[in-house]
Amino acid sequence: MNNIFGRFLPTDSLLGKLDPRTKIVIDFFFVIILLFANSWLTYGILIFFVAFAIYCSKIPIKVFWLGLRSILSLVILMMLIQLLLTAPSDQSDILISFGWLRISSTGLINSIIIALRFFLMIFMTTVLTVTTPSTSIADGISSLLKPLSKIGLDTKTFALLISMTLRFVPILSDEFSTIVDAQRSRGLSLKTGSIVKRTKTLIPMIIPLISVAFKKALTLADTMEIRGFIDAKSRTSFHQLKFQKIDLIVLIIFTVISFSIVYFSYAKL
Amino acid sequence: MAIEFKQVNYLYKSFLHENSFSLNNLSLSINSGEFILVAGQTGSGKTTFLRLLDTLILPSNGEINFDGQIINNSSPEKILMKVRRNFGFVFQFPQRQLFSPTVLDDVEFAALNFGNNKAEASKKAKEVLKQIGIEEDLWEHSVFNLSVGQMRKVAIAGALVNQPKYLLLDEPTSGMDEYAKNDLLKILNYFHEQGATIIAVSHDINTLAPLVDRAIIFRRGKIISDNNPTKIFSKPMNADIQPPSTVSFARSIGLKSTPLSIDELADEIEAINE
Amino acid sequence: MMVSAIVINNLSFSFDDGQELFRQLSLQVNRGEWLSLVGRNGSGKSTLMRLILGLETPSSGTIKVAARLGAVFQNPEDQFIGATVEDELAFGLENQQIKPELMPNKIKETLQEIGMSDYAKSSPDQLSGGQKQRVAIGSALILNADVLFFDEATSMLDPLARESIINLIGKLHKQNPNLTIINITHDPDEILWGQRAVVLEKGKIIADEPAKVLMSDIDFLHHHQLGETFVSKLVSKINQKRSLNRKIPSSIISQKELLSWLLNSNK
Repeated sequence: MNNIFGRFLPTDSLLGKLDPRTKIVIDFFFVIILLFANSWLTYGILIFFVAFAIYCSKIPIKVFWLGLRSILSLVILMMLIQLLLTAPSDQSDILISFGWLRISSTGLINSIIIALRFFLMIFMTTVLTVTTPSTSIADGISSLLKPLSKIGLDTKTFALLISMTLRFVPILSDEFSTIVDAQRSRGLSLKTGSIVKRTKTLIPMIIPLISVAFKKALTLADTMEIRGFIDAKSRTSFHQLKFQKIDLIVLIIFTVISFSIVYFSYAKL
Repeated sequence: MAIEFKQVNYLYKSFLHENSFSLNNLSLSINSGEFILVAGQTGSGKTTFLRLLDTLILPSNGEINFDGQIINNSSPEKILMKVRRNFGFVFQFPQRQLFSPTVLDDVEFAALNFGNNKAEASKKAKEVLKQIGIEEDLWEHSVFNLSVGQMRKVAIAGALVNQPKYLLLDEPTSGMDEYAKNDLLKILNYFHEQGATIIAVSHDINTLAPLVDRAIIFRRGKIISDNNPTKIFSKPMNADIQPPSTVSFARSIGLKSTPLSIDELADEIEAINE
Repeated sequence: MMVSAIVINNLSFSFDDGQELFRQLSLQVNRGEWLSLVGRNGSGKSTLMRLILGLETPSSGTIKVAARLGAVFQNPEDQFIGATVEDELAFGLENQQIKPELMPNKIKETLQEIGMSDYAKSSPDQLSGGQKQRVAIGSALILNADVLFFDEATSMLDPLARESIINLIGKLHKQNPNLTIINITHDPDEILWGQRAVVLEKGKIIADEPAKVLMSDIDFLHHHQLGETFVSKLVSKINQKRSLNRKIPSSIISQKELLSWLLNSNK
């Protein structure tokens, strides 16, 4: 139960009331804007923005920390690569040197920036998935993609697929941790042995996962059929998306922030 | 004394669940040869307790003494494996652990992992399959073509293959009919008589209460009762645990005693008639 | 006059591997009945349900269904499609292309019926197994299902949740005289909630009689490895200790009956 991706936590917050489309659009452009940030000022603005979003979501901070922890090892690995592979620009750049190993302050700064970007991205996505039920995310995406249905793309099916995926990722991740425990109790060790041996340990974990997922999928298909599901196209939608004044205000604030980031990144302040 | 929990805390990083899975300042000892029922509502900490026993998770603080081997938050994997080989753990759903091409392979798995060679593992697996009553013509079958009842037996065999000192069971009777339950109880009794310590988490109190020497009841991460089942169910229960049907029936006809089996209850009823 | 909800005529069915399960099976279920479908694993109970629900196709024979069907399966985790309770109830309405503005009222009514009014916005992560089964019942009711199948729907629940689900089914059945319940169960005491019990063994109906009659036929139950009620077991134990003239009749299968019998015989 460490995976928080796709877990919706109902709260009575401002962000819970926003149109899912607003949140999806902001999330999408946030990732792009993040690439523009290149100074302490621009990062500062983004950090402030994310912190404010977390505050408005009324979600306990530890939820975000947990979301982070699941990818922490990946982030640390990327930081290390940056740290070790960034060549010092000149002699004064070297912080520590130990044999062939030379750590530069440029490398250090780069690795911190990498981590920061990851953290901000994860926090923003968590804000979206934790404050928005998966069905609303799907409705939002479906609505945003509507123009594409004119050229023949089946956006409703696509949206349903996304919502099912979001719903089942956490379930399967719980199942997986039970399976891992079941095999560990039978002496499977993930921490000892050669790489070949460790790769082999995947089999006792993956096969039950596939078998459980398959069984769940069949039951789910039955359940859907009994409840009259034929195809995603001929359905109405319970969630009527409403773009309200508050959405407009939030979007305007985000646009202002985006432009200021782009401006400051070129102005090199 | 075989296992001793000393002020064990376990903090679960639960965030979206209203139930907290943490355990709070747990101290108890388990003697070898005991048959223990662990009960409590979902989220009371009983499953966490089983996982701690099998060292699948480690205490956040405090320590557990397993026959002299002390396990705490920083115990390395090698030591844990040493402790774990004395345990067999049967999970609620056998589908979550069966994976091998044949029944025999699957039962051998734990024996191989805990240091037996192929010949030894195969010998042990065949022995346990016989003890559990899985017919020989199924040994080369795929585990995925078995009935649910057979799958469960294979899972039990897989947990028992190393002749573990301790057998842990999570909801062993869930979804079983009465005859399947009786079958399972025979197997458990057999291994208990061989000297195994059995710890079963279950809400099937009717089935297990007459068999166990001791019942431990958890609520919100704490042990609220730990005694022999007669003592526990002689007191009025809290709303979260139902006493066995035999006890409820005895109360409804005004009996003061605590019969755990239908046999005892019948005796009690006859006693007042005479 | 009895109105049929389901009529099965000469149904035959074989599995994909050619193994035959049903041959010329016929069964009629009346509207408003509570029928328990009993039998050991592999007897064909669940397959029969799946055939009636249209999830499997018969090799031959006919199944006529004059009702809307709903079903609740064993594992509460596997049947929850939506992200919240209200989404879950809405799922079927969306399939029926109900206008969105009509949904909130229907959802509210159903939540009340299943006693889950406080949980409309809850996610499945926040519900217990029993609460999820309630929602599964609600998902059928909201589509006006008048035949409800339960496939061992209480077998994974703890005793308190089990009791609350069976009480809910009892309440719904009482409220709506046209609601048909078909309950697949191993629990002998649950069988007594219904009027009728059908026993399957290897694809054949070997008994079809009033639930009380089946549950007091101890020899039959033993012979076919079916469980007895708690009271039946108690009665046989007491009778073992008694002389012939003091035996309790085996027709006594419920706690109430046994209590009054014990009280009367003590006088």
